[in-house]
Order: sequence, then C-alpha cells, then structure tokens
Amino acid sequence: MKALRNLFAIRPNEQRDVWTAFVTLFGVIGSLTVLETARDALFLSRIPATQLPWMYIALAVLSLLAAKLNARLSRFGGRVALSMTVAASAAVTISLAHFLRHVGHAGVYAIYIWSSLSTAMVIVRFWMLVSSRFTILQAKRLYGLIGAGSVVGAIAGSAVARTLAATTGPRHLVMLAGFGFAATALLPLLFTRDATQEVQDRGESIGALKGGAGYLARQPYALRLVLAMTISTACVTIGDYLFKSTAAAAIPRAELGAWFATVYLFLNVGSLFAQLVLAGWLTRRVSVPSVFMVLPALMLLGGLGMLVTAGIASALVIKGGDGVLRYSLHKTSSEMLYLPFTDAARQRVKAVIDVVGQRGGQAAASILVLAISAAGGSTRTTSIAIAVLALLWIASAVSLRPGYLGLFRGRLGRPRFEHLSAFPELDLASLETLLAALDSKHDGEVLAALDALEREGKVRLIPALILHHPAEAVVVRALRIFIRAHRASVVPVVDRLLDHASPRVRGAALTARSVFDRDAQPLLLRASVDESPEVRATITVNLIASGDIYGDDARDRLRAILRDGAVHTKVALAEAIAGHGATDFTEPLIALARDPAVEVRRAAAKAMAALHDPRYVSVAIDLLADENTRPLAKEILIPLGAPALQALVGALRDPARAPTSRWRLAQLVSSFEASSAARALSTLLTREDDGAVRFQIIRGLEGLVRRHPDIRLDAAVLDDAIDATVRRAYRYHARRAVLERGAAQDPMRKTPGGELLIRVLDDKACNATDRLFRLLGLAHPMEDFFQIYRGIVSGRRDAREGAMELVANVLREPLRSAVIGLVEDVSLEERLDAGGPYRSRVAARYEDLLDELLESTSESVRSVAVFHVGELRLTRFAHHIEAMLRDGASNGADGASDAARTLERLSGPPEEARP
Amino acid sequence: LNIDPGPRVPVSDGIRERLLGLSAFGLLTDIDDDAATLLTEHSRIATFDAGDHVVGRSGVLDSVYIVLEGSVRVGVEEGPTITVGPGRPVGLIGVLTGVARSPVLVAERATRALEIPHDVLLAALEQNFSLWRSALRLMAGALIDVRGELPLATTSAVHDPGVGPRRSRTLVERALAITNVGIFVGANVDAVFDLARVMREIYVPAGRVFWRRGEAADAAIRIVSGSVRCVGARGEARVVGRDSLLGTIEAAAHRPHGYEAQAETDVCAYQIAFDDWLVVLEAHPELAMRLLAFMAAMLGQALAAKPA
Repeated sequence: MKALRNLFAIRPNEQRDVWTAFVTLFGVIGSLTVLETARDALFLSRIPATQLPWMYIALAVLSLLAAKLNARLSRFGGRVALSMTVAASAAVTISLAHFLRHVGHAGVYAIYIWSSLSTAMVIVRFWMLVSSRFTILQAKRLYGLIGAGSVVGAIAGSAVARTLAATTGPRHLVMLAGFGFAATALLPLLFTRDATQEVQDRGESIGALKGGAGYLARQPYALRLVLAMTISTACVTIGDYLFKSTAAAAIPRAELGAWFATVYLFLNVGSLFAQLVLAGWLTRRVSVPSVFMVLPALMLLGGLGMLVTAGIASALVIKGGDGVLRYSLHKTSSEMLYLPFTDAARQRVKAVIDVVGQRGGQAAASILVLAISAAGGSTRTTSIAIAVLALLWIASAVSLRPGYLGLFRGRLGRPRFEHLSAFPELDLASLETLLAALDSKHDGEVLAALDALEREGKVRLIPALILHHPAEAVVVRALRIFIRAHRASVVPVVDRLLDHASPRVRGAALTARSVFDRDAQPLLLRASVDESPEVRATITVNLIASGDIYGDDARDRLRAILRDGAVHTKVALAEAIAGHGATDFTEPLIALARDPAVEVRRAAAKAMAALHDPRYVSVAIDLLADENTRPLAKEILIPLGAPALQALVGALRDPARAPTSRWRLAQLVSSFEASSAARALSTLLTREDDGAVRFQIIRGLEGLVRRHPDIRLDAAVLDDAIDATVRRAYRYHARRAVLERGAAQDPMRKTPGGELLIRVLDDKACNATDRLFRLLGLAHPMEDFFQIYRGIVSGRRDAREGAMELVANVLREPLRSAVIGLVEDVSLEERLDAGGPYRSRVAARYEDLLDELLESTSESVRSVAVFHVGELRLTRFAHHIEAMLRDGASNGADGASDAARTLERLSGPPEEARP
Repeated sequence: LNIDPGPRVPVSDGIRERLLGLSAFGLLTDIDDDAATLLTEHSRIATFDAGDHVVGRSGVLDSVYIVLEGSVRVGVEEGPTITVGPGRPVGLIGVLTGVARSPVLVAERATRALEIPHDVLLAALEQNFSLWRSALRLMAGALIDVRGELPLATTSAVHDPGVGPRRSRTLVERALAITNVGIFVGANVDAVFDLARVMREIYVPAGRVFWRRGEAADAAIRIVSGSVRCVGARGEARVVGRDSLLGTIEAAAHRPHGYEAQAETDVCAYQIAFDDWLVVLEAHPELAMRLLAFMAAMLGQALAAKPA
C-alpha cells in the first residue's frame, strides 16, 4: 500500500476520497463487467447480431429519460446521488435476473438495455463527483490510481464471470451483478462531505441539460468537445458491433459466455497495465488532448487491419484497443478534458455529452451500421467507417488543444497590459484639444498643453501671443520652449517683454533675445540699466555663453558664478549654455551638474540633453543615481545612442560600482535601440553574478520585449539562464531542507539566526522562482508567463489550476516537472524530488552546510551563516571566519561587524545578556 | 481638499486628452513616458451629471477615479462624508490597501473623471517605479494635509522608553531588529538586509536637535530608545518614543520638515537617508507596494477620524 501510495503521491488529506473512489469504482465496474458478460452471452446466443444496432438506437432514446432521472437525483447531493444510483441499479438488476425466465426474449432485450443505461448513469455520476473533489494537478496524480479501481474491478468481474460461466448460466451472472451493485451502494457515502460542492450540484444539475445547449453556443471548446465525444462514441460503437458480430459468427453459441469472459479478462489485465503504467506516465508528460488521441490511433490501425484481413483476429485488435484503453487511459484523459470548465459549466457540458455525445453517437453509429447492412455492405465497409471515424476523432482531438488552453488562460484573469511604446500619431481632434487648452484660465492646463505640444514637436503651432499670458510661469515656460525650438520668429514679441515687471520673465526674455539674435548690444544696454541682480546675472552668463565675454574675464566670471553664484544665476548659466548651443562649456556644465542645489543640477542636466554631446555620458550616468535628475539623465543618454550604450554596459560591468548603482543602469539599457539593447542585456545576463543586478537585467529584457514584441532574443542564452535559475532555486530549497532537518534533530539550533537563515534561503528560492517565470516569459513570448505566475501565487484555486496546466502544456520535460515542482503545493521533500536533474548536491550535514554557506555568493546568506556560527559557538569555524575577515569577503564593513562579533563570541567568555 | 471648479477638461477621450487631464494637475510630474502611456492607454474619461452615482463598470468600485472637473461626494460606512474635487483621486485607498470598499459616490455637479481600473493601476505601480514614487508622494502629501505635520504621539515615550544597545549592532542584528516590525513582517529577507545595510545607528544626547522646521526632509529616523519632542509651527508639541518613525512622511511627500524634532532624552535611533530607502524600495517592488499600502491605510484612518 505504501509503495502504491508513493507511486501516486497521495497526500494525507486526499486519502479518504481517493480510496473511497477506488473501492467504489472497483465495485461498480466489477458488477458491470459481470453484467455485460452475461448480457453479451445472452444476447448473441439467442438473438442475431444484426439486431444490435436497434439496441443502440433504443438505448439512445432511453438515455434521455435516464439523464432526466439523473438530474433529479442531483438534488440529493453528489455522494448521496451516486449511492442512490448504484442502489437503484442493484434493485433493477436483481429484479431482471429474477424475471428473466418468465419473459423470454423481451427479458434479454431489457437486460441489454439496462446494463448500458446503468453503466452510463453510474459512471457519469461517479466522475462528476470525483472531478468536483480534485484539482487538475491532483487529477493528474490521482486519476491513475482511481481509474485503476475500474480496471481491477473489471478484471475481478471478468474473472468471476469466466469462472462461473463454465458452471452456471448467464441469469445467475446477472443476479450476481445485482448483488455486486448492492454491496457497493453504500460506499459513496464514505466520500468526505463537501457542502459547498454538493449545494452547487443541487442547483446546477436541474437546469444542466437546458443550459448546456446555450453554453455550447457561447463556448467553442465545449462544442468541439461534444463533437469529439460524439465521434469517439460512434467509432467505438461500430467497433463493438464489428467485434460482436464477428464473434457471433465465429464462436459456437454454447461457448460464447466463456469466450467473452476470457477475452474480457485478458483485455482488463491489459487495461490494468495501461492504467497503472501508461496513464500516469503519459498524462504527466504529454498534453491532455494528445493523450486523448491514443485510442483513435489504435482504432485507426485496427480498422485498417480489418479492412485487410476481415477475421476474428483483426476484430480482436479493434476490441483490444478499445477494451484496454477505453476505461483506463482514454477515460482518464476524457475526464481531464472537462477540467478547464467551472464546476457548473462542467455539469452542463457533461449533460449534453451524455445525451448527444454518448447516445447520439451510438444512434448515429447504429444508423450507419443499419445503412451499411441495408446497402449490402460487407465487414470491410464497416472497417472503412471505423477508419474514417478514427481519423475524424484524431482531427477533433487536435482541434481541442487551443480551446483547452484558452479556457485555462481565461481563468488567469485579465491578461498582462500591453501598451504602446510611444504615443500614436497626433490626430486633428487631439491637436485641437491641445491648442484649445492654451486658452484655459487654469495655468496648470496651459502649462500641460505647452509641454504636450513641445513633446509632439508642434512648437511652431504655439501662438507667439502666449508670451502675453498673465501668468509668469506660463510666459517663462513658453520662452524656454521657444528657445529650445530655436523659434526666432517670436523675437518681436520677446522684445516687448524686456520691460516686463517680473525679473524672471525679463531674464528669460533676455536669454531668448540673446539666443535668437547674436547681436550683444541690446544685452549690454540692458545690463547697464536693469536694477535686478538676477537679470544682470542672466545677461552676464548669456554674454559668456555667446562668446561676447571671453578669455580670462570669462573664466574668472565663470569661476565666481560656480563658486558663489546664486541658484538662479547658475540655472541661468546652464540655460544660456544650452540656448546658445555652446560646446566649450563642458567643465562648467559638469560642475553645475554636481551642484548641491537640485534646481541647478536639473538645469545642467537639461542643458546637457539639449547639447547632445557624448562628453556628458559619464556625468549623466552619475545623475541616474538621483531621483531628481534621473529622468533628465535618461534624456541625455538615450538620444546619444551607441556611445552612451557602450558606456552604460562598461559601467554595468564595473565591479567597483555598487550593485544598487549598476542595476539602475541595467534598466536603462533597454531604452536604447532594440536589437543593440537586446544583445547587450543578453550578454550581461550570462555574466552577472549579483542577483539584484541580474533581476534588473531580466526586467530590462522584459521591457524591451513589451515595447518591441517582434524582437528575437538569443534562445541559447535564455535557456542557459533558465537552467541556471532552476538549479539555483532547487539549491536553496535543498539547503533549507538540510537546515530544517538539522534544527529538528537538535532544538539548540533553533536560534534567531538559524531561523533567519532558513527564511533567507526560502526567500532566495522564491526570488529565483519569480525570476524563472520572467525568463520563461522571455523564452516563450506567445505565452503570458507573467500572468501565469500571478495565477499561481494568487491563492485562487481556479487561477492556480489554470496556470499550472498552462505550464504543463507549454514546457517540456524535464523542465516541466522541475518548474511545477517549484510552485506546486507540496512538502519540501516532494518538491526536491520533483527537481530531477536540476536538483543540486548540497552538504548533507548541518555543520558542513554552514561551512558551504560561509562561501555563498550571497552577502545576506554569508552574513547570517557567520552570525549563526556565533550563536552555536562552533569554534571549528573560527579560522574560516578569521580568514573571511582578513580577506574582506564578508560584506565590507557591515559583514565584517558580524564576523568580528562572531569571533568575539567564539573566543570570549560566556555571552552577556543580549541587548 | 479645497474644491476648485477645475480646469476645462477636453471633451474627446483620446490618450492625449487623458494625459492632458492628468498633467494639468501636476499628477504626472516626474512620471516617465512608459508609465504615462500605460496609465492613460487603459483608462477612460467618465462623465457624470449632478446626482449620478459613480460606480465601477461591474457595479462595484473597481476603478480609481481622478476627478478632472466638478466634484464627487464620498460616503464610507465607518467615516464621514468627504467631498473630492479636481486633481484628487477617489478609490485609491481601497485599491492600495486591498480592502474591498463600497463607498457611496455621488457626483455633486457635472463631473468628469479619469477612470483607471484597479488592475491597471496596480500593474502600472508594480511595473513602473516613477509612477509608484509619484503615488507615494501624493499619498504622503495627502496624509500631511489631513493629519497635520506632527507625528502621532506614542505612549512608549513616557512608559517604556526602551534601552539602547551596549554596543553597535551588527548587520544581522539590525536585520533581526526590523524583520518583525511594520511593513517588514513577512517581507522578503533580502529587502530587509538591503535596508539594514543602509541603516545607520546613531546616538543623540538629550537636547540635540534632529532637524528644524523648514529644513529639507531627506532622512528617516526610527527611535530605538529614548524620546523626541516635536514642536509644530504654532508651538504645539508631541513627544514620540521607541519604535516611532520620524521624517518618513515628509520625505515621501517631498516636503520640508513641518516641525522641529529635539531629543528629550538620550536617544538611540536608526537613521536612513531617504534616497537610500528609495533605492531599496525600487529594488524590491513587493516591499514598495507594502509601504504604499501602509501609507494608504494611515490616510484612510486619518480621513475616518477627521470631522465631517
């Protein structure tokens, strides 16, 4: 039992439902197998096989009534309804067995129909109950075992039937089947109570049939599923007819019972193998729609074989595929195809499939067989029908995949927000809005409109009369925009501002005047009469910038301004340099960019952006560190293109730079020309050791892909990064496992530092997992892994299920199992088992692991490990920590404090009270 | 929360119009293009007549509304009715704290508002630090406006001033000291370590002034032991003690200190330059969102406590 439990990884909270399902299915299928063996023997020994299609048609009609009855039973809740269905099967079967002698052929027909009806009613209800209990991940683990109950039951049933068939008649087998049902009837009540689900069953099932048709119209996947199920039923029905009619012709009537029992026994043994070995293995490795194609592929082969040989052997091949796989692999995959639906939708679709798919398929197949017979068709003609239906079945299975995944995607919620890389072309309506906003009585709106028009490159449309706006801020902003755009046509209006009451406006006007008209005389004249020191300073800096003050005089004045100048003078200097496009003021501008005043730094940065000069790259990189100048630094760097990108990459590789500085550079790289930026970031990704910087490189790549969806990233680099990240995540988990085990073995190890160390490793593993999904998103741009990860961590069962199924369908082994293992809700040991080839070897003993952690590349891990060594007074590490302290390998000053403190603890007297 | 008729908001609803609407109130200051496009592309301009109930598309408040023109009356179950005017958001506290709220929102007059769905805003805040920084600035500014500039007084200052450490704490000790406090409970330990690295332990003798009113707020202080007396513009005073945070809100709001802080006793504290804190927050978006949620919760409490 334990081995079996391990094989199917049943968790303690799942055991009751799993074993109840197993035993119930065992009892039901065992009874049904006995009943069906008796039914086939009875029917084919007394009635011609050509009557079988009429039975199928009758079944289709009566199934409608059965479906209604089934819906009524739903009001009693899932497990009670199943129990009542099985009990009813017992009562009817025993009654039929009792009256069989008195009713002749009618009884045979009744048994044939009843056996099929009860199969449909009980099995449908059983799987509805089971699917409401388990998620898709649980289903993949557990359906194999639950389904094995079916196969073991079938083997037991056919073995019993085979044994009894030799000594007793079919009627006793029918009676036995009835008792089997009766013995099973109470088992479903052992399922755990799930009140919510049962209430839901009650409400939803009543209108399931009615609602189903409407749902199909809205949901293409549901419609395709109904189609696939209908075709599959038709195909196996014809296969069943072909097998039985061939057997009836080839096997003596008296031997039919024993012969069927023997065949079914072998098929069921094969089915057990398929269920235990094939189903679990295949469903974990291949997508569910692909598993659904295995049976039709075998049916196709059998149909073609029958076409060639037309003997009992070929009929056995067809029945063999059906018998071995239908209730094992095929049933498992069929049930999984319902899992993308919500519980309510699943009931509706199942109700439709039960009536249309199962019964409609049977009826259609029967009509086809009757038509073939009426047209004088041979067994070969029927074989062709099987082959064609099998092909259609495969085609319909292929068409299921997009819808299947689409429904899971739908569970994740709204997809990630795609957004524009730039504003769309300015249309006339928007332009009108912007121009109209210039007339606003609200200065904020006017300023916003001015900025927007500059950004759109429409400065020429700003009326010059805006310079007469009553607000000082608006006039100064407009003048600066005109200066940057070199719009000299505004000079006549600017001249009128030279007598403006506001020194700020006068200063800005003089700057504009100086930029638009290089004649220095008006400036000199104004300098002699203007009373405002701010204006005079503005004039001076403009004269310096324009070259009208030059040589030592200019140098002295510049020095004085840089040393003692007021903030507004320095700002004016920066603006003047930019306005004049002066290229000989590199050093003063760099000095201004390092000024303590934010306004000055911002003005210098704006000037550098306007001058578009690669000499400012280095200082611009420094300006990225300050949130006040960061956006402006980007404006300097990005337009410079390749030289700036090269400098940024160089700075990123500079180990002397702090990681906090470097990761900001990584973010910016993605703003450069897409293919160059992608190359640079990919190269950096492979070389970067610091986790935080690596994270920002990944985010940079994400931004790049978001803005340029067509860009192709280096797949090999991404694969390597994914591989390394999965390994890293498993390494952290493995280390955590050793620490947790060690702490459990020796409670003295449960110190604050020990617990913190475990938390650090856990968080590191989480970080690695987050990064892994980002990398997967880059490697699979057609799948929204960002949203998938959000679904996984959302805590919503449906979103999580959908996300996990998408992961399972997109990734290939062994990565798939490893990734799912990282996010699945399992114990640490089970998680590590899922790692497969990605699982790293780590020191198995507690202290050996601490030794390993002292060498970690992560500063946090190293520091806490040092601290924990001190807590545990592990003197064997003293030399190691001394060496770390000596080599400065313990976080610089911060880490050294822990190393020094730990050495004190290791060598000192007993610990004083903790602060 | 002064009500102003607001700028004339464009009639058409294109990206630029939405951007213009936000820019007019200075709400996009220092937000980069990426954030601006993300925010405006997935939002829309909603119009309401006087008396209209403002609700989200799904019948509950599932969007943040930034009033562009007109005003909206907001009534929450547990608090007073507030009128929100142009340039101010409605529903932001709910989305940031993650608490589903169903306030009664009624347009007081013809109102236009930029409607930003919750999930768009959250995604934009997580993806774009400049937007997050702006949101923090707005939130902290609003908190100062509503609550006043002085920090909340703490009883620990009088009853349990704490004991300063006998020696400087190591990096791990500093991390342990903050890992179970406030927004750091359950936070990624890497973020805690990054913060612990930039924290400086300071010892301030009684009487020394931490900062004066009007000085730039560029650092935050977390008191480990001792008490600090804070005196506002009108001479009103509050004493704060162990575990109190000082300077954070004004630094987050990008405003100067609105009060003088002076050590009343010998004080041991952790000091962190706000720029360094921002670096840590930028590196750890999850922690950044926690801080924003924390700030939003404080603002929600302050608004609830404010007289109608």
